[in-house]
This record gives sequence, structure tokens and C-alpha cells, in this order.
Amino acid sequence: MLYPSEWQALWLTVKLALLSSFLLLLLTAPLAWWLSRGQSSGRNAINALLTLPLVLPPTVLGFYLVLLLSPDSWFSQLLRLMGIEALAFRFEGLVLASMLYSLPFVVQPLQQGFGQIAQDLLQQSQALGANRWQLVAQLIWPLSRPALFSAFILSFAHTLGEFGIVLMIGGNIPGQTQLLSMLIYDQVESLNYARAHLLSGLLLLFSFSVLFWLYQQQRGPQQRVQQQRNQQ
Amino acid sequence: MSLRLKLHWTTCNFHLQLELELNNHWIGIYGQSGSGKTSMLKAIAGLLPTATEHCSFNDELWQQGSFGQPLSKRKALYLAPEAVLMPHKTALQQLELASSWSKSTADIKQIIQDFELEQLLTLYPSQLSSGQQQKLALAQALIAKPRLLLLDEALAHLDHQQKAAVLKKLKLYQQQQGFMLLWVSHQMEDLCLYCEEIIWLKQGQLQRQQQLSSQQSNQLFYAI
Repeated sequence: MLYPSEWQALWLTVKLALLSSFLLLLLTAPLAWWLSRGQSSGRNAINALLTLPLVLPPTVLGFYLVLLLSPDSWFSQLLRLMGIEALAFRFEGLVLASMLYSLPFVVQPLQQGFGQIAQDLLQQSQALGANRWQLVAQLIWPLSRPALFSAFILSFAHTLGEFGIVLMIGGNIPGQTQLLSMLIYDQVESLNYARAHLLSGLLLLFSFSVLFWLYQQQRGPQQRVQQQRNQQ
Repeated sequence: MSLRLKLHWTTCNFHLQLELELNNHWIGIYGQSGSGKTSMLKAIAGLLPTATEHCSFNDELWQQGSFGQPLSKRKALYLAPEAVLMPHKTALQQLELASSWSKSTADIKQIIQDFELEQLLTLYPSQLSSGQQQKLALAQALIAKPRLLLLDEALAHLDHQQKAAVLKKLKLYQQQQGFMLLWVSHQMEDLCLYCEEIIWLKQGQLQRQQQLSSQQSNQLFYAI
């Protein structure tokens, strides 16, 4: 049903969404924690900066990324010193772009989730003798799991729908940077509506299934606890 | 057993200025709402570092200037009027965690029995009444074997009978473990029954500090 190039684009899209969401979560969790622990001008500035990708058109973000990732930029020269090739028109470049693009979709749910862990509960646990690791493992991790989960869902879904930035920096290279959204664009451009229909429908169905499944997963444990509680 | 404390704290409508030394085991704190009782307990527990000029316990420095002994080393437990419990853990899990965190040797089973928590062990905090939550928080504190226990109306949601039973057990544990207890209550009757010393606060100032013998406490009770 699907041509090999289309399978490739589908797999690449999913890989990109998984990888960039996972990395984002890992890298921004400490930052979101810090942001959730109070109010200050410094925090507000960082918050504003992190929300920028939400309001800027992807073309602006894409433009700066083109400059940043081009082989002559200071960033690429720095990378070359570390033995890494310039990221323009490569999958790794797309990962970086997706991470920037989805940044607010991860930081904000995390920040909210972390913020709901009350300061007095943390202090009480410390006073009872809990060390840093015990706080994280037994208090912060279980209490913020739903927030981590919804951050991941949002980032994943958002990356699936990425187009503008890819258009600017991706280069539409099959197997490297040709995502499903790009392929659909190409088909529509060449008036090949049958393939465009198929791919669009696929993306629609796939996105819906993934989101539905993730929401089911997220609701599961809470419901179990609720049921347990009702029984008692 | 001695606690020294010097507080200085000014906010827009509240001025706290306290300097005192406490040597007894069971100390009552009395005063109208807004007189600084909660602030005093929180300062001792290390939760109000900016208000605390000096705090030391048994000649161990807890707070002075920019130095603050970490909460986990003080073993001073502050129990708020509304018990602070972990929402995702059952009563038994809370007690077990307190035991493992504090590396305590206290007998969990005995404490559960003493505070009549057997029926609650599988329940989450949201399923407990506020009085039950207070009992659980107190049991959790005793498991951790504190050096200083700070009760801020922490028994106020218990009915009269339960409170008497809990206080009796608390007295027992206090004698066993030897911690110092500071107890904020609006019930002068209770304070006089149990405390060796009572402190009055008024508008952030020390109004009166008095040792009580058992005879005096009766007189005091009728005087008020």
C-alpha cells in the first residue's frame, strides 16, 4: 500500500518525535523544577524566552536555525572542533530544531506539575530525614509522573505536526530529513491527490491512535486508585 | 535540654521581636491569633530563616546569620494545624517511609497500636478525616524520634476523648524518647494540665514566661 519512500518518511517522523521529546524531557526537567520553585525577575525572563517558540512563526525560528546550522557559523565551527559535522540538512539538525520548536510544550506542563508539589511537604520530608535522592525517588518522581507524561504527549504530537521549520532547514532529503508532512506537501504540489489523501489520512489516524492510547495510559493508574478508594 | 531563640521579623502589618531561652521538656505557647505563635515554631523548625537571628539547641547552632543547619540534621519536626501528608502514599507507607528516612529504630507496630491507627493503614490521606490525619502525622513524627517536636494546634481536630488519649500516649513517648515539646494551643485548660512552662505571646512580643508546678497550674487555670 505504501511505497518504501513513504514508509521511510513515516518511520523518520516517528523517530524524530520520540527522540526529540525524550531529550527535551530529560534536559528541561531540572530547569522546569527551578522555575516552579518561586517567583523572580530572572525566572520571568527565562520563562518568556522559553515561551517564544509558541508565538514566533516557524519561519523566524527556521531562519535563525539556518544561520546557526550553516557550515560557516560559529556553532558549526564549535561542533567541528568536537568532531561533529555541520547539522544543516541532517536528521540531527531536525532533532535540534524540533526540540526548540516543542520547548514550551514540555516546560509548561512540567512547571505546572512540579509547582503542585507543595513546599511544606518537601520540607516536612526533609525534616523527617529524607535525603535528596529519597525526595526525588519517593516524592517528586511519583507526584510528577502525570506531568512528565502529558509533557511527553504534547511534545510528541507537536513534533508529528511539524512543517514550517522542516521546510526551512530540512532540505527534504529522503531517509535523512524527509518527513511525512514534507512528503504530503510534495504530493499536493504535484497534484497527486490520491497519495496525499492516503498519507494525510494515515497521519491523522496514527496521531489520533497514539494520543488516544497515551491518554488511556495516563488515565489508567489514576482510575485504579480511584476504584480502590471507592471500594474502601 | 535547652533551646535559645532570637527572632526579629517585620512585615507590613506584623512585627515579631522575641528573645527567649527554654529549658523544660513540655512547653505551652499561648496567645491570640496573630501573636506570632506559628512564626515562632516555624523559625525553630528552620522554615523561616530570614526571621531568625539566632537559634541553637543544646549548644548546637541551628541558625545564625547566613548559616542554617539543614532540616534533616535538626530533627525538629513542625506539625501544622492541617497535617502535611504525602497524597500518593497510604497511612502505612507514610509511617514506613518516615522510619526508613530517619533510620529510626522506633517500633512502628507499637505506635500504630498506641494511636489506634490499625483501621486506617490501607487508606490514603484524602480518605482520612482531619482528626485522623493529625493522629497519623503525629505518629509519623514520633517514629522519626525527633529531638524537638513542635505542635501547632496539631491536635485541634480531635474530639475531647481522643485528644485526652493521644496526649496521654504523647506524654509517655516524651518520657521515653526525651524530646522537647513546644505546643501551641488555644485551650489553656490543656496547656495547664500538661505543660511545665507556659509562654504568652502578644503582638509578636513575649508577654510572660512562667514555670508551672502542678499546684500553680491549677491556680493559673482559674485565674484566666
